[in-house]
Amino acid sequence: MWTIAMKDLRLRWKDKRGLITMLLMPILLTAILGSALGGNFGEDSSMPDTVVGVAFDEVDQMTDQWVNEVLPNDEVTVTAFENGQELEVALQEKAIDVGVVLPENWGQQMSESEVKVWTDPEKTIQASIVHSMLTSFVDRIQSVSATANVFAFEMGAEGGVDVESATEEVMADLRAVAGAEGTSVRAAEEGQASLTGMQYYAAAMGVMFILFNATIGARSVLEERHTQTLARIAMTPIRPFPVMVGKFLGTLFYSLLQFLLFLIATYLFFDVSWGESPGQVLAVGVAYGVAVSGLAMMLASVIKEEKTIDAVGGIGVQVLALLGGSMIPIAAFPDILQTVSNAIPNKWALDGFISVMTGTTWTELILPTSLLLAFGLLCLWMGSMRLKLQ
Amino acid sequence: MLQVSELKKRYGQKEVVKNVSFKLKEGEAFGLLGPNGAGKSTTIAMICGLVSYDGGQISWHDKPMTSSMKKKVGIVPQEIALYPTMSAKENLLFWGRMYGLKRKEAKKRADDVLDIVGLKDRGKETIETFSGGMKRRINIGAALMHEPELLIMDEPTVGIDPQSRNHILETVKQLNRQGMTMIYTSHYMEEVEFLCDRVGIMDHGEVIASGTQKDLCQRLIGGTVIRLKLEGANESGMQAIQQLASVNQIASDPESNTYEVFVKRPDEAISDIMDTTVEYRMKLSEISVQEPNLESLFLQLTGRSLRD
Repeated sequence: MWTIAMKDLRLRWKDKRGLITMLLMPILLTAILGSALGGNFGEDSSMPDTVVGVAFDEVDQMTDQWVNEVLPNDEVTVTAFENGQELEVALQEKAIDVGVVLPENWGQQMSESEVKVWTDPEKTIQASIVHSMLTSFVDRIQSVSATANVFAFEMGAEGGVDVESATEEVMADLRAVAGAEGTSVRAAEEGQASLTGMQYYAAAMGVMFILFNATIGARSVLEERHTQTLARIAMTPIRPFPVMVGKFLGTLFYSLLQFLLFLIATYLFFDVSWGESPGQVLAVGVAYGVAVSGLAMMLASVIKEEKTIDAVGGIGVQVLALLGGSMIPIAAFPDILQTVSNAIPNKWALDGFISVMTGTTWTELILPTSLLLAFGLLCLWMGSMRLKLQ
Repeated sequence: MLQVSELKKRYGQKEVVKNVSFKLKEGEAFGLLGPNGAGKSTTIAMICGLVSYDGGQISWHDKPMTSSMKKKVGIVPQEIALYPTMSAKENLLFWGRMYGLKRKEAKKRADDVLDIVGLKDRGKETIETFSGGMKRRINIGAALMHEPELLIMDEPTVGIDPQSRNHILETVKQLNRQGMTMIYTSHYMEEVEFLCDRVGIMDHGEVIASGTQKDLCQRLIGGTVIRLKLEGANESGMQAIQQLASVNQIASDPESNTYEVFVKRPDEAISDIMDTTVEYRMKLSEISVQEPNLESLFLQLTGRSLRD
């Protein structure tokens, strides 16, 4: 069993072309996708570095709060302009990414005023985020205002209270709440570290390329059947099931080796953090390796020709990778596809890795790892039942 | 040592092995001779445990063959069942380990086996760089790694050059001289004649004759074959030849106008045949006399050539 597994590992290690494809391709894709789409997974906010120009003619309390307290953060730099024309020129000269023109008396008449947001056509995402931040601020100020009105009304009805000073105090508190951070969209939930684009695509590409081992493992069985080495093994004293387990382990070891090298490469070259717990990363990696290797045995038992496995593998892996969130985050899918993705092992692996990256407990990892292990072992068992050595 | 009794195998409606029986003594070389599709490889596959059998029995030292006994058997399959991207030595090590050899033991034995098959200096080279003959030699070497008591070879010389073939045959002969028992299947009569003490001739899934080469040749009805090439052969003329007192049987190949005539007394028969061809106006363009051999026996038994 071990001899077969180690022989398979050695054969795949010797296949330099395959090795380069399986190792360099995911690294390259991680670099491309992580860099290109990384902004969507900002570590501290949801947007890339942006210069926002704001034109206003009157500085009241609300305008000042939004321009100087709410809007600026690590990624957003605010530049003030006296009028819309200056702002337009700056936008054309690309001195700013997004321009916001606040109308007269905006601070007093937020709900009735129309704010103009201009942008460079290439930076619509930043513009829509700035617009969201503005809308969010307006909504909260209106809530504060409505709350203050109710408070003043109730206090007045009670009598014996200095309504003006009490309302002023409440307004100050609520204003602080309205102006507090929270306007930026964060990728992480409470208590978790945030996820960068590079981290997401490192996990996504790692998961996708490990999935290719399902077809490589199945192909190895079909090749051995074709060249009769499998039949020759069957003529030795080793029984068929350990032979299949040996083939399964060969795929598992190669998957783990590939994953380990990929993990080290992404850590060294792209500074990707795979989380605080190496044990958890390993647990998800091994469980996913078992799932992929089991799938390989299953495929080998139902497909007869090497050409078929190449075709099925090429298309199948890409479809599974797409549905599993390796190309686009699953959250962007319609509900039906999100439901379908629950039946796909690479989805659980990606979820597992992302959980580990953002900080999770062992208890939370029980579900994805158990599902992956169960899937892999079930496939191995079913494959072994059906698979013929010659 | 090995006894095969009434072995049967059926694929669907087709019975591919029909009541095949033979015995093998220690140190003996037994040849299974027959044309392609005769059932030799299926019989071998059943002995090796690769294919289940529908009837009969295989015994090893008077006990039913079990998978643990496979350790005592070395098998050389018809195909070159090796890993092309691994070196010759790595292949031998792998197959040695599959038969339960320890790592150190396997390493030492691999060097010995490379020496036996004449490739001691090529052990580090990958199989894919070898010629067909060299691959065949490693294919045999892989079966020798665990020093089996019985070596089963299924057409081990298919598709190789004469030089490699001779080397393989000499190696196998040497192994047999050293006491290794073997079963050798082939459709090359001369290989079986060279290597084997006893021969079983198979056709259409049956052993149609079995015994030592001498016994089998004596069984020829009329020990000698006269090969005729006739132009303008006619039915009445051929019937006349068949009815000659010195002639026992005729096998014909109408496409090449060739006729194999089995005779008891060649001198007398040649004279009679020539007179008959003249009488029936058939033009005799070629005549030759063949000593009795396994090929002629097969021809007599089946009416076909071994390589048909």
